[in-house]
Amino acid sequence: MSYERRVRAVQEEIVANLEAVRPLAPPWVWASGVSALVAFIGMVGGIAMRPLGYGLLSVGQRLCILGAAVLSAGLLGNLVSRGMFPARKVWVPRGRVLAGAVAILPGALACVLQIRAEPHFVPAAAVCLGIGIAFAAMTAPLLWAVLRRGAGMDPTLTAMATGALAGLAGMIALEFHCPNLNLMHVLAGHFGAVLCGLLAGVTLRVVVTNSRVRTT
Amino acid sequence: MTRYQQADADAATAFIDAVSPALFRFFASQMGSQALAEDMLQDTWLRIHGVRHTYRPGEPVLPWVYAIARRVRVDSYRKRRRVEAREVVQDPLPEVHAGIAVESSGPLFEEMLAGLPESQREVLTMLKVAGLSLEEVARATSSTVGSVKQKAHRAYERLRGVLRP
Repeated sequence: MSYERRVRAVQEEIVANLEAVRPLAPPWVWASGVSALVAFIGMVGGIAMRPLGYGLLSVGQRLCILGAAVLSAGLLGNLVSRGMFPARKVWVPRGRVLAGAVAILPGALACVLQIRAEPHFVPAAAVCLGIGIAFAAMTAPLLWAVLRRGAGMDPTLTAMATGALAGLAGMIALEFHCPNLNLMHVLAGHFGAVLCGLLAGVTLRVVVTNSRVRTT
Repeated sequence: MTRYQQADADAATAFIDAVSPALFRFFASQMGSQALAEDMLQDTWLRIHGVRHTYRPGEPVLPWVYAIARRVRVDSYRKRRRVEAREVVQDPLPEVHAGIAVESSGPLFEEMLAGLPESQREVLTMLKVAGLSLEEVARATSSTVGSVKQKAHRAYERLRGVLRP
């Protein structure tokens, strides 16, 4: 088919399926909405499970840990909202934003928590990690329902950021609930949910991509 | 674009007429094949139609269009690579070259571009073939202006090497 005929065919198809659409809300609305959703789920979940850990943290520890979590949520929300809108202005490369959003969490934890001896480290961390992953599994579909409205500009990075965001909901819930303030436990059991979410996001992206090839 | 979002058929048709030649040249210079360029042009318009709600009125249109075109090209390339990894070529068909004829004793523009890394080729095509500004290219490629300048500079250096052996 010649170039002109292709263009005509496209025009006919588009005009035949033409409906008015309302432009999406600005990116900052999606970024803050997604971040607020994650923080809300984490907070409500942690309080519902009894905020034992929150009561044991000093004011400084609360500000540092939860502040880092909110900042991380904001950065990740910004990253996923960028993937919704083509041609957003970029001030910082996206990979660095993702790395920074994830790295700020263990950094904040290491500043305010100490390593303590813990006799049942592995089972205790596994329990918390399981809770965090459960929160991530509940949060991820909600995030996906929001983000699928966008253009899907960078599916792999968006999948990673979405997974990390979902895991962050779990981490926030655990920071409210878990009374174990051993740094290693928090890194493995709480922050581990963020890493698991990130890995799950990229794994799911690979699985979906490969399944499309098989059906081609 | 705003009128296209409001389901104005004339605006949609005019928009496609206005942008298609530049998009086709973009794909042709990237792919070196008219058939592939036409396929991707069609895919791009269908994708643009599907995500037209993500265009914010008042924002520059061309970077938005090229960002989607770039995404279509990347998706298409990855899909072809995955499919080709599972196929066995029997009789390869001759490629119809989408050459933009230039009267010159030197190498064709596409031949020079073909020797560049993909990211540099893409930036140079948007700057010189599509006529986008540095900022528009940065938006379309989801990178910073500094990164675009760096890629363009490296591309120019390589092309100088080709033209001045």
